[in-house]
Amino acid sequence: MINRREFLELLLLTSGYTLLGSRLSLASPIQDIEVSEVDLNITYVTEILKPPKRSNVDIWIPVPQTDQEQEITGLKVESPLPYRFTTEPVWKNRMVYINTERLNPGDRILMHYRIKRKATGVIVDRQRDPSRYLEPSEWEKWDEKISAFVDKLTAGDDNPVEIARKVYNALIERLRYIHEVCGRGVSTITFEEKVGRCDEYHALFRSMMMYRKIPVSWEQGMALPYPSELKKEGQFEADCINAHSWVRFYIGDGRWFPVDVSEADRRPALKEFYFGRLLPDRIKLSNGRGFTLAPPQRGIINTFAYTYIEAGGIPAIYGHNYRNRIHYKLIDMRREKQ
Amino acid sequence: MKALERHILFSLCSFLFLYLLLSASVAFSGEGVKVGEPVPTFVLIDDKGKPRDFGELIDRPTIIYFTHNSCWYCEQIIHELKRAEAKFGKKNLRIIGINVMATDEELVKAYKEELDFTFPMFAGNREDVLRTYRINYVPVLVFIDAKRIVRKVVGHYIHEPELFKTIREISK
Repeated sequence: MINRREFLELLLLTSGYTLLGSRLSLASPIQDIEVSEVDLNITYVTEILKPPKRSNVDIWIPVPQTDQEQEITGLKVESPLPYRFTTEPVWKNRMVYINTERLNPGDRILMHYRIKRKATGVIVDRQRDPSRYLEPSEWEKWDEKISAFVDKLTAGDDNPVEIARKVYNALIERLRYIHEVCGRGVSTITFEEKVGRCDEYHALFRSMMMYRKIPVSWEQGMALPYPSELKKEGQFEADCINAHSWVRFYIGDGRWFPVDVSEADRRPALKEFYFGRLLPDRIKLSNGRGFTLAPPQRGIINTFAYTYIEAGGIPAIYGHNYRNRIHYKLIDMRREKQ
Repeated sequence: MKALERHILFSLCSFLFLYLLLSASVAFSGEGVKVGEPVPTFVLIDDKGKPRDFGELIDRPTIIYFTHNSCWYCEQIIHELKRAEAKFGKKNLRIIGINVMATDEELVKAYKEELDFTFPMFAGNREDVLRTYRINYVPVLVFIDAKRIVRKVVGHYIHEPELFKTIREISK
């Protein structure tokens, strides 16, 4: 038996599906790879738990931007502290910046926005200079073991897609995915230890591809639940465990080809899919690794997917001084036109 | 003028000495940490800014705990380590922290103060240390017996029963 409210909800959903055709009903089974877009209202919350003992606090919060893969609208910040938007000069990553003498327990900075995140494949972006994507970050430098491996693996290949496919397969074969750790994404250690999360997989992918002179961009964000796992509303921790990275390599003529090696390893059924396509199960928050925030931070951050705080120039401690959460409300979900 | 030259010479010698001290690795010549082999140790900066060979502290069953400031799971482990020390006794168990984000004493000191981390802690953001211990993520716990032999390396969150069981194993 269903109650009256559930009956009405079901009726509304059924009506919506009938009227809109291509929109997915939450009542119907959802195939992740059929979903072409998810439309969500997001509230990103940074909450101060126990304020750092040191004074002069700096807070940087990544701000998602509209691009070919996602549309961000209605961005609004609520903060008890004065804030401003800043943009770092290298990759043009945008952030909310706050400087204050001290924080108070329970201080909350909220960022509201609506995101329409698309399933994507190859994108065309002729504004990007591929040569900028041939420079490894300090964590992606390769050694002779990696170069010898790539030489053997891709001997005789010149086509970027063919080389990438061999590297993609080899990494899935070589590495073991581990979830509950906060990665540093160091290619040489990943190659030897054969274990890691997204940052480890994609750092090594970049190293191997860049060694073959193929430009690779680094995209960083937060993982959303898979479309089939999205609820009407939900929340999750926006920390190093839920941060997610993926990459795109250059195939010429302004075209950038996406891969998500770690997700392909986690979900073998999607191995073919993740070579060339991405699910709408992520929010992109920044590009590049190891950049300097605006204004500059003192510590070293190798990726920028969630709030970073320093007090007196010392990084605050996640889970002790502060935490971040993402609350989402599902507005709509679309599938590819048949 | 001579006093100034002497001062510069003394400063250079002090710097060189400190550099050599920090670069030295003790009792280790292999490629990295390995189970069944002697533990590699280093001279690192402690929370007071002093270079110190953390190997000198490995005089009993020991856990070297690698962490950094962005790891929430790691904070939970600190509570487990404190309970472990209370259970097994300070004389029977040594716990050493290495913060892989820290390049100097400032971050180590702040970390210890914020989290009431009562164990010795060192600044571990050094290429040789990270490569030797193969730290590509945290938490990592290295379990060492009283003979300074590495018995187990745990590269993920550890639950208390597993922690206590492993301490019993290195205490045999």
